[in-house]
Amino acid sequence: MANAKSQILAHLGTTPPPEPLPEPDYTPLAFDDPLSAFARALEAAGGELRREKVDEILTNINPKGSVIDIRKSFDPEADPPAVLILAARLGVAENGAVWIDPQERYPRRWIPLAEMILIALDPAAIVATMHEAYAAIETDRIRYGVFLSGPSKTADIEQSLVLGAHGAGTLIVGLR
Amino acid sequence: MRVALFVPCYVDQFYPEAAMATLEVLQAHGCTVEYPRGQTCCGQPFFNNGLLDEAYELAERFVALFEGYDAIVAPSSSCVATVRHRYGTLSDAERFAHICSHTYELCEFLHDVIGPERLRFERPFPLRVGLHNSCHAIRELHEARSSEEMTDPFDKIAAVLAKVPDIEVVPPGRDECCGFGGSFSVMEPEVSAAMGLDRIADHRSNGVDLIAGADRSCLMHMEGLARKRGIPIGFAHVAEILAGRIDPKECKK
Amino acid sequence: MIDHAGAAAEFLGDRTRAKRHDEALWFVRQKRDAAAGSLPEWEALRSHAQRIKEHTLAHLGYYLERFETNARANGIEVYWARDAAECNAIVERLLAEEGARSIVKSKSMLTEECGLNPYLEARGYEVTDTDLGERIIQLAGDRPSHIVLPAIHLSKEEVGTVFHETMGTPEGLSDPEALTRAARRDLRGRFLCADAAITGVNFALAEEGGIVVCTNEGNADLGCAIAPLHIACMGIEKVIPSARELGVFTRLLARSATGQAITAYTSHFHAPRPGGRLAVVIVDNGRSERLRNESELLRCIRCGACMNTCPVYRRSGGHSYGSVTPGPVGSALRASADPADAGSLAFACTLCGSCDAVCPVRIPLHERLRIAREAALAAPTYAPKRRILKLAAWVVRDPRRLEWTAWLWRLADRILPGWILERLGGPWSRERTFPRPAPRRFSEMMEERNG
Repeated sequence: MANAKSQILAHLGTTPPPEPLPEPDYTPLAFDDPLSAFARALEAAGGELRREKVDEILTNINPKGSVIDIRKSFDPEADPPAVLILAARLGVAENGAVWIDPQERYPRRWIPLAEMILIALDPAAIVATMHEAYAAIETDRIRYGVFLSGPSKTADIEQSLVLGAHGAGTLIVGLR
Repeated sequence: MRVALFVPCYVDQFYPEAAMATLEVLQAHGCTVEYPRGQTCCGQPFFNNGLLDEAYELAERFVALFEGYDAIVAPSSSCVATVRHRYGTLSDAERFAHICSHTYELCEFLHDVIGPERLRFERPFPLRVGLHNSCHAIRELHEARSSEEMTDPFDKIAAVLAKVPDIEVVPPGRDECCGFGGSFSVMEPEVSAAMGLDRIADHRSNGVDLIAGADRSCLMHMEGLARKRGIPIGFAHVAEILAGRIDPKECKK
Repeated sequence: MIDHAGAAAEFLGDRTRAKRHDEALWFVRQKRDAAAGSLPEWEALRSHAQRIKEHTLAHLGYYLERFETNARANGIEVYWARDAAECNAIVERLLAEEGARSIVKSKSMLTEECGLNPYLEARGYEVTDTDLGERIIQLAGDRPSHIVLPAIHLSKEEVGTVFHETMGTPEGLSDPEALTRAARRDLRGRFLCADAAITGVNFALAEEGGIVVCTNEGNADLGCAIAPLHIACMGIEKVIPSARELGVFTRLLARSATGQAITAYTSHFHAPRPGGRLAVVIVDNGRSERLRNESELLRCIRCGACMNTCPVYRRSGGHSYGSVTPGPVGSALRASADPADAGSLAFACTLCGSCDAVCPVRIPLHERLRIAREAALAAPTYAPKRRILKLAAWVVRDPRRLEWTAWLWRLADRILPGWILERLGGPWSRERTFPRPAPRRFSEMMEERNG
């Protein structure tokens, strides 16, 4: 297989680019009211922003199953909870996505296996676009991380949108 | 301005009235129009079907015939697109440069060179006209913004037509290909027909009296589909409306 | 040999299906328009994406090597495959090492291209496609007809029948929500006991040494988070310099594909999960050869926008292309790689140019298809077409010959009965009447005027 690598690379050449990477020549979208823009985009993605604290949302929902709040103490060996409460590093106004980076503190599988995801987001941590989002994340420290924009969804049967294809069917973002 | 009239081969034989209309419109707007003898084909079918040697020969012929004019104007955007975009890719690009940048589709010439404010069309045309902009007019000559592009909308052909007194220009719901596509029409007749019939239905759903466009080839295909099925709708080249060569009463049935 | 026109005619034979297909995809195209239109910088964003891809492809070896070094440093295993056979063999070896038998797979156009599923199934592995669209296709024993919407050609009733026969859902059940729930239940069990997960790669980050997978269902995340082994297969063109460039591509991908602002999951796998393995297979399979003359095609980020907008694709269905990737980009890829077999794909296009205008990385698709026609026309199948074109070229090379031809046509139009003219018109006349030659040609009128 070392042979395959050297053959492919011999075809392509491996000298570093003499020229710098192209720079963007446009000003990305900006929002007067990023929180409202985020709320609209999240709603379009099948999620929901509630302008209240996550703990209040949880009380209102009064879930039947187990709850794990990764902001508090938890047992990393526990089964995936019905409701998983995550803390987002940031939110993106243009698409309603939030950045979730577990840093292996809790198992990755909790995220796709939870029935409902509640996300605590600091409204001050909402950036306008993915450009700013990637500039803000420490991308060299990621092991596994995910931008979540609304719940899991599919439209593979006659273009009919169904939430909860595999992962959480409900995703609610609350304030910290 | 010394303008050469380029009449594509199929227009010459099947639609001479569109060519005559083009000539009259140009003359009415102060152009000295010449019709160089011996013109045949711009080479489009050969460029588009992978016969580059033949295409190149015809391009050479075209350049020899049309060298030295201030502008070359044709009642066909697909032929103009061939001259403008394909000739430049040939080896002797420099010789072609002037021809490439000075060959215009009629409405494009009227809009960009003469200028909309100086356009005068005398004869009213009090009908609803479905404007079928061909793909080459939209996506190669950029005479109108395509629905795919996220830029400010404009439509030079509609803007020119709008100068005709009493006309009502109606765009179709989709600015989609009519399915002619040159050899496509005979290599994929079923898909081609389905596309054309969809466009005709689109225009008819707007209650138009006739369908007009800057490419008689697209209209020829749609007209053939309509006639074969007895669909009652008329077709005309935009030049014929601009020149006042069609009687609106004849169209309204 | 692929007969696009024949297959398309068959597809169009079912009017209801064809109309639904056209309208469903046009609706997706309109959603794309709305999403793209929400960004004032859309056109500049496309140009920037094009420049980044051009830059990366011009220095592909460098970025791939950087990716490998950094991925290894993160604990990711990296393998290289020259072709499909090597890719499949590497995957099988990895599975064998882990003693894996049951595999959950999320969507990967590359493994489709390599025929990985049938390869593994023939060797006794149980492969489950987990993207709902692909699962439907797998259960139906069908082929995907679209790269983003694999089951777009099927009606909900047909999906209901497939699920009834394979999963025992109630007969006649065709509600998309109920069918999706049934598939979810069935697949959840398979996820929980899978030995390995196979995914594709949307982007590989050279600087960070990680891969990014974009899905709406979260099936990639689910598979990789449970199975002890994650194998990700990527074409060499998937690498980009760093996560910073994702700011550009994640803005373009879903908007172009489905009109969403971003996919529900944009998942970064930069290291194996604790106790698990993550292996990336980098596959060439003809790409480095392509880089020479048609590198534009390697910019493709597989959004499917060119399919949704293509008026021919919408009316002929994905299967008519007989290729893993259908539509404009698929035709351009296949027709140039294999003109003898796939020449008809180069002609399954009106050169309308709509695909170019939606492509998020500005691939000049209709120009590539036009160029592909040169080689296609040289194939024996097209000998008659070539002869007709050559004859036509001979005619129009000389104005006198053109005149004679016009004269002959006019004569035929006058003396021959309609049905013979129809016969002579061939495929043109099947659908349309012929235009009648005018009594006098324009050139004749001008001769009279001037002479």
